[in-house]
Amino acid sequence: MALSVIFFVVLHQRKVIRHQLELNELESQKQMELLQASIQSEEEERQRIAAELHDDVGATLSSARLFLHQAEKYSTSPELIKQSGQLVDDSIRKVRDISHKLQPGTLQALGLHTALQALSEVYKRSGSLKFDVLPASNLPRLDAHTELHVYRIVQELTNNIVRHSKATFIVLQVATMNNELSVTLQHDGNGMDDKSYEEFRQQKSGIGLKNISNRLRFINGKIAFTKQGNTAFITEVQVPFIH
Amino acid sequence: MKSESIEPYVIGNVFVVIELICISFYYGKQLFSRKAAFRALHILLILGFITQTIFNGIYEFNFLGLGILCTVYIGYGIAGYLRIIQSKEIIYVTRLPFFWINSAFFLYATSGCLLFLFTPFLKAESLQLILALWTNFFVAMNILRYIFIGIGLYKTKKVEA
Repeated sequence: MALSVIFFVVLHQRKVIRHQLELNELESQKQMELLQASIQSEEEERQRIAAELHDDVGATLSSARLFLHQAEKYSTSPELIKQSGQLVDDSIRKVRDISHKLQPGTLQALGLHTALQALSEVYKRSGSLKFDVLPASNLPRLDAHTELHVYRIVQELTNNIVRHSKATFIVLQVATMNNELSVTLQHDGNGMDDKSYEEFRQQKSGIGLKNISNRLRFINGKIAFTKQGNTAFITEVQVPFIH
Repeated sequence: MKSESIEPYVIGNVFVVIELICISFYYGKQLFSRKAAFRALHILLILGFITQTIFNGIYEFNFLGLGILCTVYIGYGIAGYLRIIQSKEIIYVTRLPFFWINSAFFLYATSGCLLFLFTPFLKAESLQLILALWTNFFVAMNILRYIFIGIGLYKTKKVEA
């Protein structure tokens, strides 16, 4: 009888544990779905804003530029009008850049490497730093969602480097290795290591890094931060292939 | 049982009291949140056993007292299992040292309880039967008890490491 009580306790506890693990699995799945929905709605919102910027604001500014060019011919102070025209040109360029950053049109059409090259052009035009994208040969097209997530991760990392690290150059390399896509960002500014990445991610203000972490979870990716020598920091993102 | 048929068991009675103190100390840490209740219960049990032993004769082994204590140990065992079942931690019970040690005492108590409770009421002619029950059944359960205690101590070492 005593042995049967012991067996009952063991079996009961295993049943409870199995049930608890199933509940944890369901909760984890539900959280992932909520997260995915949140990111999806964020992307849709970006798409909408990009379209409105391009179609609405961009179009209006283009029209203003046309009028200014016309006015320059007939005005008594052409220099003033010319300066106004340049300001409008700048605004058109900025709107285009913002629209590009919000929704990379080249990503879906031409792939990740081309989209990253276009991203580097945006930063180069701003004049804040030198940004080179190394050529990549035979880079296969990935799943659309994976490409978008990788693009956003690189975009966020680049944004952080430009805003916080005081880097003068960034070198971006995309390569394939052991059935994985590897994206490496090298810069000469103030970088971080894996430990400080975790610390910043936990902070309330670490929304960008949390976003990176969430996106990596969706695509089963990994990120590593290392220091090379005294002056260079390398961030490497590795993502398994899903064609 | 009459003292001429069985040797004086003063040491046996002392053993029971010390066993009671040790088992109670272990379960006191695991089961009792109120230390005052724990102390009160065990002082009562110790005094009860000693009183009954003196009443029966200190040179006779107090089988009835030990049988009653075994029912208390059965209660501890069941309370221990309830604590494990109600625990909110997700952990396999076989990994818990407490599960093994609790099972050891539970087996010991259940195997000995009826034997100790009814031994005083059996006649001297049944001595051979008692000895056979003692040797075969109770000692076999004791082997299992010490195996379980050994596993429990091993798991404790693992947990601490």
